[in-house]
Amino acid sequence: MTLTRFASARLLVPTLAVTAGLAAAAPAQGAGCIQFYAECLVRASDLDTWWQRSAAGIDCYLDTVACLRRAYT
Amino acid sequence: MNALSALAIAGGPAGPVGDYGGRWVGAKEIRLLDTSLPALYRIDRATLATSVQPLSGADAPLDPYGMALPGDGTVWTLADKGRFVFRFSEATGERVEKRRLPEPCQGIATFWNHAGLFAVRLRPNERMLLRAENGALRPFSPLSSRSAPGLAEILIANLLRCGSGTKAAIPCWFVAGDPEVLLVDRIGIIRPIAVPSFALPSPARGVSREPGVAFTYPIRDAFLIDGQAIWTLTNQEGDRTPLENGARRGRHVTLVRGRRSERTLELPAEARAILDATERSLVVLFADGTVRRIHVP
Repeated sequence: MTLTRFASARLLVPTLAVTAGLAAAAPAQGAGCIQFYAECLVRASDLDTWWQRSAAGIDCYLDTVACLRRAYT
Repeated sequence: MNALSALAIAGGPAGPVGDYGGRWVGAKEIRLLDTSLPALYRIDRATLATSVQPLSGADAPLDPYGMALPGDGTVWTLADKGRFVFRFSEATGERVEKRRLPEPCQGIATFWNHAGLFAVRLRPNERMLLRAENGALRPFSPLSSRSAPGLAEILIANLLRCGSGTKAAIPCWFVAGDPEVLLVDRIGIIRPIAVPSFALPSPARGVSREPGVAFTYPIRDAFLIDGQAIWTLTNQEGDRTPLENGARRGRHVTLVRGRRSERTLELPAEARAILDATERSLVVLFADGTVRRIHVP
């Protein structure tokens, strides 16, 4: 794992609550990717170890980038 | 794989493009990546006659994040949500290399004799355009990530795409934000070009907490003809962002020369990409997967 990936994981985990709150308040029609992101992070946070949570968090993040790219480009 | 695609691979006429993944424009041929097969559509620039070359050996889903043909006899694509680069033989379509990237990327394009990779960024002021060198990714342009108020906004604000360029420059743009194309030259220097926009701010901006409505999405594609002239394809038209029901997208192309918009054409249907262009005509990939030539009146 590179320094960049470490940095991403560290950024992702603390943003869980903020993002989940943001998606919960968002209108249904446009929030698909972000709603998915929040739900994905909630699932990731239930995993047992820090490594599992971090790896799952990065998966959520890359899935969200893919979702956003597909939606907006 | 749908029935039409299977027909095409069996040697019949090429069906509609399934999942458009990017294109490359050579002297006589356009190559277009369909990630749903996966395959390359090889389109003759003069006649639009099309053949389909399957890509084999992909053990992860190819990403619709673009493609690169840097002249090494291979076609580069990203896979598994930007974690890997796959290289396929131009001659046979077989995979010849799978390489894990040091960091995940959100796009890839041909930058003359190398593949340019677009980084995923969570922070502002980090270099966006990278190339692979000795197992590492190194920046080759000052084009940098932008800031935004929250994480979701940062992800959206730093979606980057690049279109078709010339020997001198490649047009790139941020998907969300101002209608501006950034011409990247051979040494990575950026020259911004303002282009027309049909996108209007969402009425929900400042009211909704949905992060996407904070932006407009003016550009879907760009095709540089020469140093002064560029065709752009609209993305968002009106005030509905692309994720909203009823969004109108990709219905106009505009020729910009210098600082002036010389010509705007309304397209008969939603378009996905400009595959080829001169001042007198364009070859357009429409959202239904068909490829048609449009003559400029």
